[in-house]
Amino acid sequence: MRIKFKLDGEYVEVDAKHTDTLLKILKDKLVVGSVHFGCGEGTCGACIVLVNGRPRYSCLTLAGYVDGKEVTTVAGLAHDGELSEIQKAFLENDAAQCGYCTPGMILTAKALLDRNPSPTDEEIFDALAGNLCRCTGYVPIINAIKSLSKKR
Amino acid sequence: MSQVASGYYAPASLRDAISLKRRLREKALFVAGGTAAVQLVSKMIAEPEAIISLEKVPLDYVKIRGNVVEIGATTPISRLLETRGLPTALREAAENIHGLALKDMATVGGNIFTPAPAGDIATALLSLDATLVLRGTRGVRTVPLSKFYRGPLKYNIKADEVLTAIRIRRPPRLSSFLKQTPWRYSGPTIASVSVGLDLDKNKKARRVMVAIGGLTTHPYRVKRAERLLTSKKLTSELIEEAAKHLVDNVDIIDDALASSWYREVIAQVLFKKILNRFI
Amino acid sequence: MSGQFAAVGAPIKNVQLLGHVTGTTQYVDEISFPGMLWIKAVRSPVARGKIRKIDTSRAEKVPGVIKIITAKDVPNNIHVNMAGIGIGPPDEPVLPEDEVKYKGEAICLVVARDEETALKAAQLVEVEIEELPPVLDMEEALKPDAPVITKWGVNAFIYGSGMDGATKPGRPGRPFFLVRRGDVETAFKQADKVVKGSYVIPPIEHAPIEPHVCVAKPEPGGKLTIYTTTQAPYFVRDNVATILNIPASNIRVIAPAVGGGFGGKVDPEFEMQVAVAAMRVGRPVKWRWTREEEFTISTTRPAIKVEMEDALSKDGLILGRRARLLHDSGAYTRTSPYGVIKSTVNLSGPYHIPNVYYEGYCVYTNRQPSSAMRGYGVFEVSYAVELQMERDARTLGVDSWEFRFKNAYRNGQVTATGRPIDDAYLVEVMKEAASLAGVKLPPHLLQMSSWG
Repeated sequence: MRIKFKLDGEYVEVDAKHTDTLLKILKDKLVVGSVHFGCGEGTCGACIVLVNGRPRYSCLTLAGYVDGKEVTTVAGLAHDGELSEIQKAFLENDAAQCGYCTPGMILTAKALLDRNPSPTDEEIFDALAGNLCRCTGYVPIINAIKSLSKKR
Repeated sequence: MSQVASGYYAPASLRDAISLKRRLREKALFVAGGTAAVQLVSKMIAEPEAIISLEKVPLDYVKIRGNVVEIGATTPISRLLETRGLPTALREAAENIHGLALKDMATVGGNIFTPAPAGDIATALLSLDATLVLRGTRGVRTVPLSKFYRGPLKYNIKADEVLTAIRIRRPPRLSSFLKQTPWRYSGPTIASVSVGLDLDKNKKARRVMVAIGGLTTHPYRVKRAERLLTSKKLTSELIEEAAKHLVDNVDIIDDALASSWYREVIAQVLFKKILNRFI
Repeated sequence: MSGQFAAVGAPIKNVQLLGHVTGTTQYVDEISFPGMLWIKAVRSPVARGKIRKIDTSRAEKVPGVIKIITAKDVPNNIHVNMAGIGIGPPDEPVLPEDEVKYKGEAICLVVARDEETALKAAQLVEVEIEELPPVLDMEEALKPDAPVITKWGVNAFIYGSGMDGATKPGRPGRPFFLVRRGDVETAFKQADKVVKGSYVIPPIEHAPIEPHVCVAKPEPGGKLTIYTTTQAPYFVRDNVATILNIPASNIRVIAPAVGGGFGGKVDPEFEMQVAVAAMRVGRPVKWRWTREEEFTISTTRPAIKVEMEDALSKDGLILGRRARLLHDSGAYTRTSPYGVIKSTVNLSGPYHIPNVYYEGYCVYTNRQPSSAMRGYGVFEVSYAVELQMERDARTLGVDSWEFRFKNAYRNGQVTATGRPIDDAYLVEVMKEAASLAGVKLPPHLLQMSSWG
């Protein structure tokens, strides 16, 4: 089947099998560098993208689902070379080490802040439960999100 | 029967979904939120000729009218958290689903079909005496959730039926859900307990519903413990006594996540924690 | 302090951060070439067995399957691992010829046009295995009647015999690494109290969020470029060169950003297999491990067991220590003989014990091979040592802070292996730790120092 969707603001059309996951299409067909395979079962969050603004594990989303929808990756958050607020906060708080989990973390954080501009620590921990990081120990990531929570 | 091409189907109406299911039967994989079903495909455990996705069928709703709560089958877990007035156990089970993305993707209806270590919403619904609304080509049928499981991955549903809604009539005034996972912030269920309870003014239980999740493929009700607690004043001794009967004749899962011994102990701890709050 | 120096004590930004937050950091999984093929392995369903037959006929008929790689396709079928730096012996085949030694060991590789086709075909390869009794427990493995799973007749590495390639061959050696100092027998005779402890740690998986991924691309003139998730490109190059029988200068190993390694990406584990496949089919080939493979095939921190016995004086000193350490190497050697040396020499911890006798065993079992993980060999033993210190203090009825302060290394002392200590800071570190933890130490401990 042919599916058409908006990827970071641009329309893309791609051939997909009915059993293809969005992750497979993004990685192996469209070669999107920021979407990562980690577990394939919705535990680690390295493959998270926003679909119509809501976070989804692309490894658990079939390609057909995004037909006619808008997919946002972390690359789509910056505008005209200017980083978004959340990207700046991660940068300032050193909220990444190896970086493999970072795009998923940033997108989940964005989805959280879009819904709840001043989350409590507990709400941040809870929202990020589906994003695993093996390097940072989470503290700088939580700090990055908290820094925005205060700003708003 | 007409040939149906392999492919991805996203019917816009329930009627279309039911007729597709009837035509394709086992050739098709039904997908609601996808959190369990898509893994079957991506790991090539199943190779369906077609996918029927419920994403466009308008079943994403929560209605609370008088004493009846009705939840559409494709309502995502996050919707439960955005809705006021739902029984506490249901909210607590929803809060414990793993992270923001899974809460947005996983559906209430899908959760009912998902085996341990998932299925927390089903455990909560079981303690609320929920009923399932199944619609097929020959009309609507309702089945109490307590009569829906017929063994591991065997459900009381016909080939042409679709689960459309979950109904809770007369939700108990008190309810609570607790679960134990290997991690602090949600994750796979080692054991979960959900209790629905109506107490009279003397703290005697008029109605008690106890559901246990995580110990078996699907959650179950504990009739023996419920009978012990009914019509008696709730005391810690009584709770202690009832806790002894949570796993009578139950073949508890023993795997890498947790031993059967540990699951049993945890179920008892959670059960006592919940009920002691209501004394 | 930071005020006096430009670099020391000054925070430094991770240079990759901008790439991480914009999603432009390049990992191996983004590397793709036209005509690139994919690998899936057929893995052993049993922990130990003789391979009787590999029937690939059904799998070969699957449209899109290019080739099935078996041991026959490997020019020099021996994984040299780190023999180049004296860590051996090279006892692991790239693909097994007749025997599988752990559950999940790759038996053959399906190379196909995409991942699904490779997986589907791999499920159609029929392997006939005669199951043999496996050795899964370290104590069992060392018993005289245990099934022998190594080529040299004992389920342990023989130290001092030259089998690692680093020491002179031909000597009898011992099935353990020995650390001995002072007179441990006398120390135990003079002891006021003897405390025994036994400590076990299971294997620990590194669990990086990025699984193992490798792309090998044949280049003109018999050359090969390998893109891989490695912490040690040179180990990969040396292994591949030996296995393919080509000069190392023909091989270029590119290690882009690694999505977490923690020691789990030090060993060349699968690059050799990808390289062989790529050279055989003459096209770029990619292998991306699944999370299941990450947990069940990739190396882990070794399981260990430590039995310890301390001779204590009533005034709170450790007079002597005996210890026996078992380290689970799994089915093959990898880096374990080296890890055992690290573990054994660290059995004193950061404490001064004048009389010691330590035996460290590198044990082979039919489990996935273990290897390095952060603080390789030391972390495992620290757990045992510190629990033993607590146990010692409780038995003597003294505060465990006091016990540690008394026994901490002082400058001028000598370690069990004979190294003079000139950089001891444990007393100072413990004072700082106590203050951070809000523990009030008595004045006589606060007066102590590493210099006396």
